[in-house]
Amino acid sequence: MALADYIVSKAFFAREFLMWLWHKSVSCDGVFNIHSGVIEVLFDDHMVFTGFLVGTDSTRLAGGEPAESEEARLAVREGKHLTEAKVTIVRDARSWTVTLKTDPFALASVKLPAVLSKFDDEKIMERMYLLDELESMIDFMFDEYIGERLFGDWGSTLDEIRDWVSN
Amino acid sequence: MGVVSGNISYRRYWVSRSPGKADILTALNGRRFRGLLQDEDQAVGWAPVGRLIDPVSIDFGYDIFMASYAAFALRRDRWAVPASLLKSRVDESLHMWLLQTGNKKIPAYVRIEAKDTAQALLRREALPKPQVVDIVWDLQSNIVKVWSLSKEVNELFDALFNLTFKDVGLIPLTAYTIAISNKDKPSIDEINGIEACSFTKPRE
Repeated sequence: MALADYIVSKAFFAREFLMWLWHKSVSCDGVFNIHSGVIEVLFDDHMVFTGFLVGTDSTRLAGGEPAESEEARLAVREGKHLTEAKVTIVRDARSWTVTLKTDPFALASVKLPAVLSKFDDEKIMERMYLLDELESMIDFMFDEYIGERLFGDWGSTLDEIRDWVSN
Repeated sequence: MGVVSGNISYRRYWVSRSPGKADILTALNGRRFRGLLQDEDQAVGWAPVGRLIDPVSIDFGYDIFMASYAAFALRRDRWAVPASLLKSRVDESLHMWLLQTGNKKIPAYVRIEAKDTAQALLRREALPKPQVVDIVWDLQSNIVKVWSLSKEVNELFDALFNLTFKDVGLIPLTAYTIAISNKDKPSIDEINGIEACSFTKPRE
């Protein structure tokens, strides 16, 4: 199969990752150990669940704490996929807010920690460093998900997620 | 907007290698945005970041490089002729044609001519509508960021980037390409074998 075909057929990795991240965030109080220390991953006030079957509507949850809500898990029980979520990541008292999108896998509406530089060139560099830092945290967590899929006990993780969704 | 300030929504790409700075400048200047002509529907090219007015008069220079980054923009200009105004001009011209010729039906070629003429006339009065998308290329990590999530814009970027930098192999960073990056062949084979799962309990 060509790379382009794999990109399409494995697009579900992004949706699974987001679901895995949501469950992990709720079950571990948002605390993740990554290569360079401890970070907090908190699901914010915006989640979108998409039904991929014909005639299925999307469920958009906004305001409050949708990640903790029954409605959010109900959407999954209805067979919908988490395709968009606003997430806050905290590291060393600095916070990034990002909407993680799955189709295509992309970062949207990113809010960076305060940028201190005043001149455009310096501003660009500072913003790029902060974005690179955010990407490295997200890529690390994504790699952890893939690692669990490949070498971990994915069956147990899946059972845990299914129990949590159904309760 | 995007690189210096404002909303940050972007897609990432990976290139197999980053050319030297001089080669990047030569390539960008070769496909520089050159302005929109009256008879063109759109003009596409590379432009400096944040230079909306008069982007055609200067060449790219070394000031686009900051640390390991190269920052530039994809610019597309199109004529912003309001559809309602165009339709009304075309209708008026076709009405005149019917009166002048005494015909009851309008042939297709007359309709096409009327539309082309109206479009040309209105373009003389209109200003081009610019669309600018910031691009940042990290020459160290070989990652290119495109400040747009629009499928159309990303396809435009992909096409122009591949024309400009012919041998760097642009690949979109998707969940799959991120998953296989830095993996050995057996791991990639295993990744290729992963099937989607359902998060709902199977019915007993």
